Amino acid sequence: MTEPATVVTSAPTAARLDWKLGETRLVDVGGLTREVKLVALLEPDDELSRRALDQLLVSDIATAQELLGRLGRLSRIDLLVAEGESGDALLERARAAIPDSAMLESTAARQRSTVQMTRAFELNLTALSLLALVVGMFLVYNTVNFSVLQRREWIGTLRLLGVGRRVLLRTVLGEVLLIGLAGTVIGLIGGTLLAGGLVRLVTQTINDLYFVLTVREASLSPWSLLKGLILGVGATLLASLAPAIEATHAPAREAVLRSIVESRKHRAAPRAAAAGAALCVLGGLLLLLPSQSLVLAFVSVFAVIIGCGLLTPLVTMLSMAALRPAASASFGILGSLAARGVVASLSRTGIAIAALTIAISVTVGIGVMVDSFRQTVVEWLDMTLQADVYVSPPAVIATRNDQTLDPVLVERLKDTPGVSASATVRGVDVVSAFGSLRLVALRPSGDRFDGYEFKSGQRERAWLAFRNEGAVIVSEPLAYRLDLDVGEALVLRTDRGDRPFEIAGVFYDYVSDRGMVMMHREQYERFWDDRSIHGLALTASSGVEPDDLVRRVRERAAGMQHVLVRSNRALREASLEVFDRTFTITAVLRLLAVLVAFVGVLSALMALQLERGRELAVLRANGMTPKQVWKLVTCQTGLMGLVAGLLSLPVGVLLASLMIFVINRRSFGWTLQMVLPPALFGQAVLVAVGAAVIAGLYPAWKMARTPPARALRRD
Amino acid sequence: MVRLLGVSKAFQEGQNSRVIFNQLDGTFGEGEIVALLGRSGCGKSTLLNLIAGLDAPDKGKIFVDGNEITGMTDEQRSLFRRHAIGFVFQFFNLIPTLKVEENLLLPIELKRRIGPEDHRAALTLLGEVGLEDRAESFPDVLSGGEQQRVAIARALVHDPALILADEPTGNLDLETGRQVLELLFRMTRQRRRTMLLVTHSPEVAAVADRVFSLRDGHLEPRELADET
Ligand SMILES: Nc1ncnc2c1ncn2[C@@H]1O[C@H](COP(=O)(O)OP(=O)(O)OP(=O)(O)O)[C@@H](O)[C@H]1O
Ligand SMILES: [Mg+2]
Repeated sequence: MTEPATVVTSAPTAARLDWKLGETRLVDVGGLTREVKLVALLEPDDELSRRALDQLLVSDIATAQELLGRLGRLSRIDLLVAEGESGDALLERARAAIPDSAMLESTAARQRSTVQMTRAFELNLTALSLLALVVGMFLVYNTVNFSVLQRREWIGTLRLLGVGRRVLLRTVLGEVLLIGLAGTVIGLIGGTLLAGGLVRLVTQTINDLYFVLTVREASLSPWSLLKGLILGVGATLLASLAPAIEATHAPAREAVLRSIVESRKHRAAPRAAAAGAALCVLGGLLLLLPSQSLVLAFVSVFAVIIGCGLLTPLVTMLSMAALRPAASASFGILGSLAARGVVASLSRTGIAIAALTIAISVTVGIGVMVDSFRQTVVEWLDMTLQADVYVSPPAVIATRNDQTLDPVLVERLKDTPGVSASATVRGVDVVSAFGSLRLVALRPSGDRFDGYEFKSGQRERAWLAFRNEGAVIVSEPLAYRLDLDVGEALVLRTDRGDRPFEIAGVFYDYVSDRGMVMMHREQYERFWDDRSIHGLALTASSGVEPDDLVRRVRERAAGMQHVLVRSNRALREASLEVFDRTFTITAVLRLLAVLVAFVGVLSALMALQLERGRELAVLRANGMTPKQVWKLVTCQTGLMGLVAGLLSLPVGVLLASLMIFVINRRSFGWTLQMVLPPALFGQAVLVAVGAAVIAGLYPAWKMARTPPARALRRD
Repeated sequence: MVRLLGVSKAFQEGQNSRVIFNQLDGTFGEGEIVALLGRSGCGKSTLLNLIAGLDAPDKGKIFVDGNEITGMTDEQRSLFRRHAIGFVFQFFNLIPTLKVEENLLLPIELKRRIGPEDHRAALTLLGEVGLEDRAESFPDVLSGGEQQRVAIARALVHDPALILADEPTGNLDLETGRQVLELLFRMTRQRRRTMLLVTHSPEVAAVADRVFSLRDGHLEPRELADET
């Protein structure tokens, strides 16, 4: 390794790259091609080292400095320090010895800041999965409710025979526990399979937005499996407690009578609605608390979701009464039967509709949020991308480029014929009292802030302060996160020591949720020794086509550093691509929620089918044809889907505003404009009705096929 | 009216099949009221279900009103049932989500759109069974006897050729049962309809035109005088 241009890597990485010992390969370092020779292989002895060494090249410091073009510079020195006084003394000496531009930091603090970076992202994913669990709990509740209702005669008979409530409850819960366990185990297996795909998506997002991460396979710790197990079984038991207690504690006679159970549910509907409304209000009140807590915001969102779920039975009753005349006018007695049937089996249909409503409203909410976000970003890109051609080294992290442009190349490209103006940027991480911050040194092309919209601070005054007085402007997420505003000073560690910089403005920016501090290049060069540039923006002279300029710039860069030259449009598209990729995972989770709800409707209808078999047989005996059975069931599921779909719109918009104005704000600090796309709403209703009708196909088929004679037997 | 030709029916129960009818023959004439007696489990309900086309025999032919229902599809049989057959069961006659009048009009509504004259006919019929004031009630608030009276009215509302009644009074007390049955007989005779009535009571059988006893899968005519 002491020889120049030699590297070492782990055996698995070399094997994957098919890189033989002693072989020389070309590597691309920020657009510059270098040769390196593999001189040794590291054999990791455990899984942890294997993962740590994955995708890593190790070299001598001299080689690294040469390869990366950082002669004489180190990015980090790790110190192993003894505990106790001698160690403290050593740290004191180290602190005195390091230059002003460096910082002494404990390993724990470093890790914390990495974790901090993705905390909001992680929390959002957790919340989405919890949401799936909530929808799941509705279904468990439904299923247990059904299974005890179905056996109400059995339970009633046992009670009449003198079996105690405790024993019955234990039996029912024991059964639920077994089913919950089986479901959870299947869920864990499915989750493990799903994780493989999701890991890729999440890794991509983190690479796009935060830092480079190599994850080749999902690593499931026994702890997260155990957590899943506890959550699954716990949620099952929790959701089934109420129906189990209700069924086993009813007076013995009553347990037998179905009509009593249903009429009790009808009486319960307004009470549930009242509780739901109270929960929604509580959720709203939680948001009034002056806090930036994301957890609190999610608690409030869940309160609203569950509250709306509790409102559904009453809304179902009312809307069926309202829809019945229309249903009966268009489908005759079948429509009337369908509408009344939904209400008559409210204990079953209500929950299914609630689950479907929640699932669809979550997709509406997320859809509105993503659309609003995207629209905001599109408008912002239109405003902020003012130049015609952008030049940058190939980046490993899309939103944070650490590679630099060859200064000779920069000068050469600025002089390309057809360029009327140019701007440069340089981004570095600097130390502040708030930890590491992103600092961008900007040499603007014009003599004012072009392409910046200010949330706070006055544009002209901010420009003068930025241009002449060395003030900085900060992006919105940073200002929100650190609670900074115009007029305050931000202390940054420069190469000349800690210096305060006045904040002249807060500007909108959607590049990263970490946020950034922007400083004029001249001011940057006054306080930092770094002269590199990592981005160049060129404005075409009038009459020059941007695409022609792109071609010219590419020609001039040929043979020098390998750089990305992109037109305004291409950069815009690339940015939106990153945006869309970030939200792929939410699409997956949305789909999952709908799928769970679909299963819910299916099981509710299967339950109805079992339960109404005899009624259906009477209808069949009176001349209902199998076709009419289809029509009846489809009408019923269509009505259920319609109610869920319509109800999911206001709930979805409510959720979207919570996500846009509270969750997003507290997670990332962005201001987003809410847009309400009508197409999305139409789609939501269609999905709800479609899911319900499709879920009804199998039960309808079964019902139409069942010979009525069998159901007429009195068991 | 009803002709059974070599009808066989067996139920599969796990491994072994349980033969209910083997080559059963029988004929019931137009305008007759026939009582069907027999031990519990001998297949009386099964026979009614076969005649109504709610179930299909394994072998043999069944003719109702000149139509061979054994050759029909499920759809065709349903359509046939709509106009030719009226059913009264022991339990679960009425649809709980429909009001009394809606229950009554059900066989017609399944066929076509109802008009004002149907409502008038329904009210008249309800008057005949003594329930004209209960048209707007839901079935669960009616007594057992009242429910059976609605069921009888419904079995007749579409003027079917054949009425099948499976122990229509089995669930009622003696006195109410007698009233309901008397109503059923009176209304069937008034309209000169054919009725097949399953009963356990020889007393009821005594008022029928003919009595058959179902034994070992065969229909045996019984002389009324034989009754003990
Ligand atoms: N779907 C079925 N599967 C299996 N066995 C059946 C089925 N339907 C009826 N049976 C059997 O067929 C026999 C006849 O039943 P059916 O209901 O016709 O009797 P029944 O004469 O009406 O009796 P009851 O007087 O008690 O009503 C019974 O032994 C019953 O167990
Ligand atoms: Mg019977």
